[in-house]
Amino acid sequence: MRKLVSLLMCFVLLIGQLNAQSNRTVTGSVTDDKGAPLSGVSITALGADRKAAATTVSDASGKFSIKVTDKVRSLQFAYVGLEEQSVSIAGKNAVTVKLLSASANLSEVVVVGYGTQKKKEATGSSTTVSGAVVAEKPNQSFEGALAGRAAGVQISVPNGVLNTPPVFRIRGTNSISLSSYPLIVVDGVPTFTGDFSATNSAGNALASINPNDIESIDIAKDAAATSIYGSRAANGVVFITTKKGKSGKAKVVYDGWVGFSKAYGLPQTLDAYQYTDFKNNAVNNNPAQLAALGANPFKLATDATGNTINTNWNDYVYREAFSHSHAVSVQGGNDNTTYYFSIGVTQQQGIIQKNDFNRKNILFNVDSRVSKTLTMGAKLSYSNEANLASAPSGSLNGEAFNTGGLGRIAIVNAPNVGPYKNDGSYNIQANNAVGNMANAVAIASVGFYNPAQILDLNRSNSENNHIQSNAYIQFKPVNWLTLKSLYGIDFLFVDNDLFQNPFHGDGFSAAGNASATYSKNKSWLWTNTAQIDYTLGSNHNFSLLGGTEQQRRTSLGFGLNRQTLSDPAYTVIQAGFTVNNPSGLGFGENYLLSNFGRLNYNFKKKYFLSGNIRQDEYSALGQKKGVFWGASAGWDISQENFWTATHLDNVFSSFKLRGSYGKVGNIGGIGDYNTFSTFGSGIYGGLATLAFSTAGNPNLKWETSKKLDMGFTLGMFKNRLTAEFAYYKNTIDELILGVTQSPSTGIGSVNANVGSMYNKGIELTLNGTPIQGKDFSWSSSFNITRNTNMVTALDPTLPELTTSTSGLESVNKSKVGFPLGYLFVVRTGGVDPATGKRIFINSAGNPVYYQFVAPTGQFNYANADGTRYVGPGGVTAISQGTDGVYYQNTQPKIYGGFDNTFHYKGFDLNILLTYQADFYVYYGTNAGLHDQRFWNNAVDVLSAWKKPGDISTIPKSVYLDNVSNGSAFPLDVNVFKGDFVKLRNLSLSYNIPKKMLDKVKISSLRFYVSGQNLAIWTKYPGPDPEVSSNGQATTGQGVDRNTIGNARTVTVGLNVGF
Amino acid sequence: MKLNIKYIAPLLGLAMIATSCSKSYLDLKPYNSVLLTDAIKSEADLQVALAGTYSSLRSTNLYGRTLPVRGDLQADNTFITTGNSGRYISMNNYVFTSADGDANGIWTSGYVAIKNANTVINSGLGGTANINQYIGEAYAIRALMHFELVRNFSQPYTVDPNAAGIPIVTTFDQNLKPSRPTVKDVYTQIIADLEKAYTSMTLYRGTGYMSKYAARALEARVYAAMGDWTNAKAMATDVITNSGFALVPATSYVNYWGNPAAQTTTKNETFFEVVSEALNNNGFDQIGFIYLTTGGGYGDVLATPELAGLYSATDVRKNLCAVGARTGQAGTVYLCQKYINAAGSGDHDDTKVMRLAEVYMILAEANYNLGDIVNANLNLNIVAKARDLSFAGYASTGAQVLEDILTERRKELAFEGQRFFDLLRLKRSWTKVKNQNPLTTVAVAPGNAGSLLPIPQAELDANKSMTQNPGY
Repeated sequence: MRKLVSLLMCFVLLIGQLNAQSNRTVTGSVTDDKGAPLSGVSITALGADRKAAATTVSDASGKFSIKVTDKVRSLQFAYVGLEEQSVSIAGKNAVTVKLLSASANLSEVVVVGYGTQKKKEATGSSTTVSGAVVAEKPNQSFEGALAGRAAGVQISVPNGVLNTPPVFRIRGTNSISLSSYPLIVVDGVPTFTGDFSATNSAGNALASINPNDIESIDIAKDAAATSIYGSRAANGVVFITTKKGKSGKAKVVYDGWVGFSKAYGLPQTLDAYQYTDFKNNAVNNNPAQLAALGANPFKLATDATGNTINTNWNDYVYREAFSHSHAVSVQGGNDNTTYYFSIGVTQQQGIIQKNDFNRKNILFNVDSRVSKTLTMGAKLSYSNEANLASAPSGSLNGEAFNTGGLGRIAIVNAPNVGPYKNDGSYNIQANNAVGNMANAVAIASVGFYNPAQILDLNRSNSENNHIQSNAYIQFKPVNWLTLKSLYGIDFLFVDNDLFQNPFHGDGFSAAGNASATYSKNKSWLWTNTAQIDYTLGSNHNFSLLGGTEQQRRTSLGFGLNRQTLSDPAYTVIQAGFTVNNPSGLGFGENYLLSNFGRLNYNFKKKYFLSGNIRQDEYSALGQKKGVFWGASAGWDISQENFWTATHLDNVFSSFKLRGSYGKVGNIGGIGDYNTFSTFGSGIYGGLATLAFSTAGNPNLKWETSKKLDMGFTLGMFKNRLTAEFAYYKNTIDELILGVTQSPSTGIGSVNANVGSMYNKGIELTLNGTPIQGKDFSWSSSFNITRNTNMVTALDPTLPELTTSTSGLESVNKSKVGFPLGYLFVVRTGGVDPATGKRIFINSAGNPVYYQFVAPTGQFNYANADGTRYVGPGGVTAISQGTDGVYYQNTQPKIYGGFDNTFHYKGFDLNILLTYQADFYVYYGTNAGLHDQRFWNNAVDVLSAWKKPGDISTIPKSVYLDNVSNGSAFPLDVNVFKGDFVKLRNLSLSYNIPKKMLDKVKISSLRFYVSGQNLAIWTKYPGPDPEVSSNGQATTGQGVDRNTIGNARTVTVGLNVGF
Repeated sequence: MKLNIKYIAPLLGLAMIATSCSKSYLDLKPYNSVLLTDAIKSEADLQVALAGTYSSLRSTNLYGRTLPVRGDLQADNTFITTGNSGRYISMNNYVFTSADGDANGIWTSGYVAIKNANTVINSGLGGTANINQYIGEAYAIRALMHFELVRNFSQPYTVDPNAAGIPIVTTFDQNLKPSRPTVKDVYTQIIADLEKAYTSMTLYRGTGYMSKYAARALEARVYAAMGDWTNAKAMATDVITNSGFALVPATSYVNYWGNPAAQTTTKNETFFEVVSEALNNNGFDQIGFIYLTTGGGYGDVLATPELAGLYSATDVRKNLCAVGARTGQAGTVYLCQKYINAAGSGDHDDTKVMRLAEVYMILAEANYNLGDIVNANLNLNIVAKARDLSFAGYASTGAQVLEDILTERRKELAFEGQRFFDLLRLKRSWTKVKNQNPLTTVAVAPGNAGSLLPIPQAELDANKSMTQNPGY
């Protein structure tokens, strides 16, 4: 590295400087965008050949004077942190220049690790999203609003539970057992990501950032842009920059909205009349059940007023939700000190009853230029988020098969029973199920829990207190050198509060159950950097960064679980219980020590070279030390003489080629102590126990991602149309997987770096302004990504990796030669028109006829001729293990967004469409919706086979049959194409004209109305193909088992500035 | 405030240096678990590690549920009702694949327990009576686990002592890829371990722990499985004469089963049981839940009417195989009542592994095989009469004596997982009930592939030295 630098220096010195004859003097002044004089601005006189002819610096009052020859055409003004500007001096001897703040023009600056870079000089692949697109939306955290906004970025909101972390993937899924979530760096400090709630509510750690406070979001994708974050960069890096103050009079802005949400696309199930008839018919088709229950055991009941009970359980699970949000910010400052201060309050209701998100947050950013050379600043941020729920939604990872999952209860419970008995009490029975009412069937044969009871009495809350603060000191002894030291803390404290009543539901078996757990997650970070920005001659621009960083994280958890409530009147953990168990115990600490450096060089802003290097040492690894790097090059062809000579510049206003390659790592989610072999403790016979429980791998190291990126950026018609194209390939090796040891050693598996995988694809972004008029304009942005994921190596002793949904159903498998999480199901061949039997296709491709009840002389599984089916290995039944096939891919191969903004006078209309395509979803809910036990069914079961000759896709209904429709093992009939286009956001706003506002001393006033998820175009039959029962699981995407879909929300708001 | 470069520059320099001062943070060790290398360094450590070894026996795959369930389910004592929770279906149907979860569970958990016993045995400590006792107990556990594994995964010794056994693991090695020694080799190891256990142990710590005579009683069972009746008799005689244990009388026999607590000083009936407690139990995966239809139990495994019919009206054991009800099961339903403390927040059922009654019956069988019919009947009647106060006693002659012993063993040890292995070692053929009402059955004869569990695929995948059992 050092060698390279000195070589470059020599090269630069040899070129030397040009001396030119001076024959006139140009004077002028430089100010910032507020008109305040700027001192220390470097001013360069440029000749026609764009070579520097003379340089000077502005004085304390912003004045300058420079002698120039007649060859000089323009002056270039540069100041760190402000936008560079060139001013023509043809025929002028005095100029006044106003330099705009760099961040004022987002399209021009990109936040990179430990600094910023001009977009046109950047050779890495990254996308900047303005904070404005995530503000004013009814999202709990910013990521949800990023969907469709950036090429290469896939955002899928996995369910309708408030504050669920979206599945956030940059250029595919880049890990198997570790996190695939990008590293999120907020104002220079990496923060916590993921769901920190230990209850049935969701607690996305990133919700502590009020989206209204975000200035910009920069998404780094390739090795060049991410490698400065070394061992944590494999999943991409997202830089969040919160708003800072601008000097000038204090500006107060209030933003508030109210929103209304409801569920959409809920499955249509049988009503009480249809249910009773249909199930009675199913009982008739099962002789043993007919004998046991008698004919027509399912019966209608009447309520207290004599009306037939016809319950739509959705009415008790879902609601039309109301939300509101308010934020006030004050910003301002003088020449030396600026501040941004904001407070926000939001209270949001989810579409599930009792699912609320309430946040109170405060942010204070201050920056102060203490002296010419010294700047100090600080950020104080505190947020309190209450994530409230009553009962499991059945939608979070691991909940899919919960008996108490609300999404499941709503479609399983019989419609001919209601939530309340005629005396007004809850309709529950002794065996912890909704009461039978008139049905003459066995107990627990009309439904699971009574949702009305558990929603009324249970609690499953989680509260986050999140402090994200930092302070920095920046020292600039000379113009070209910046020294900075930043210390930041990120403390996330989580309180979980769970209560389950003793009468019914999840608390029944424990006779009342309460948990209170607390977890402390603390992180501190200290970064020290030195940056040199230097221009040698006028053509060789260097930017050299060196730094060190240390980050320490600790986590501590403890809590109490209490059972067997002494008095049912109690509802809190402090009350009387007879059983006390420890709960939520956790302990961890890790430490990351890093040195890093970056060199950016460009020659005449035409040829660009950039290199990043980082050495990380991480305590949780066996091989602690690793070196990561990224290198990139760019060529701005439009700066070449031939470009203008051939008049290509008439069409292509800019054209830049770039490419990068590098090696980065992933350690996200690695256990703190995976390298150790440890004993675990327990109790036996009242005595403490220790048993050797975990075998460690002392050679464990980070996962490696080698990233290749090639692409171009071009602008046409004075940049009214710009295009960005990239081809990328992430080759990921040394993926950490549990390698099965010989079980006779007595240990299960040991984590080792054995897997390999790649993601490759292309990204295209088009930005254009088709219409740009005085009153009317239309700007449009379209992006598309095509990603291919492929597993190339797994644990050598295991042929495939199976991922279960909530431990009960395993429909995802990963195997070498397939993308992650492929669907593995049993194929079917329709329904036999003669008998109404389900036809399965066995492993050999032959049809197997299934009937749940086999009359004497017949068989459950039979060949076409009615003889007993005997399959490979002598099996006489179809099973997923024997007959399942690798069926379809679950990862969207194509995704992106199409964003259009129309502006007419004071009106703005924004339409954002997002889409994902070329993937399949296992709609497991559909298996339940056709299950022939007491479960309520989708209305299409009415078209089930009834008599010989009927052509139907649904087999003859036989009471208790849980095989024919996919409950016992997953079937291809429940796999659907997930392709969709969503109208993700539609918003209309109106700015009241300024002249009307001046009278009332208001500087700006804007009203807006917006809708989220107003429309979805898809052939997927469930509520939402974007959902995922397995949350963030890398290998378990594309499964929709009893998941509650996303909300459709309409908000009305106003934004007023004083 | 006036700030000067003179002060700032050293400050920043210091900041850079400070970064390199924190290397100790890079060597973090877990605080809430103990490193393997630090674990067993004293007598107290050893005791705790031994307790950990016992707790591994509580696994659902071992005495927590699967082992005792299999010994009756694959014999003629129990079957699985139609509307079930999906557990133990392959055992009920006698159809396994090498991926069978229960087979994998027994294998994996068995070797986990062996690994834990080995950490105690190989701790390098010694010298005190307590340490010798603890190491002796670990030897007994290691022997017990090898015995369970060999009889579940290998041919009975009485069928072919030279058949492929199961790996003998006596030291911990993460990279071990063991092959299969002969059944005989495994039994030799088991006997050696039990002899060490017998000589090392001097203390009685209650029924939740191994003791001198628990080891000896197990040795009697092992010799019986080998058909070595001379040694079986010697072991059983030693136990009966010297252990100080007594049979539970008929009047308190039902209470004996209903009491979930282990004995700490008394010596009634139980030599060894695996303890489950209020706080540490297998929850819904306890053995009781598979038999009970109330209190949240699955009630999947029901007793065959044939078993229930063996008990006379005056037999106290009739109460432990009682008439009950099971949704979806037609006809009279018989439910095991030996594990009734499964629900609730109190103490939970322990699983009895070795009892005195069995020792008497081993002695009876040994005497029969050694030609001493008189004593065979005498030993057998001690048990039979203790359970049925109106019973006059067996007085058969010839081969019928063995049948009496087998019947009495079946009645006494029902739901304790022994019946299947009795039938196997005696090379019997029998009819296994798959379901009652309507009756479906499997005819089981010696050599039936479903009698031997498959070596788990996970072992075969990870260990190329391993060979599969025939039929898989």
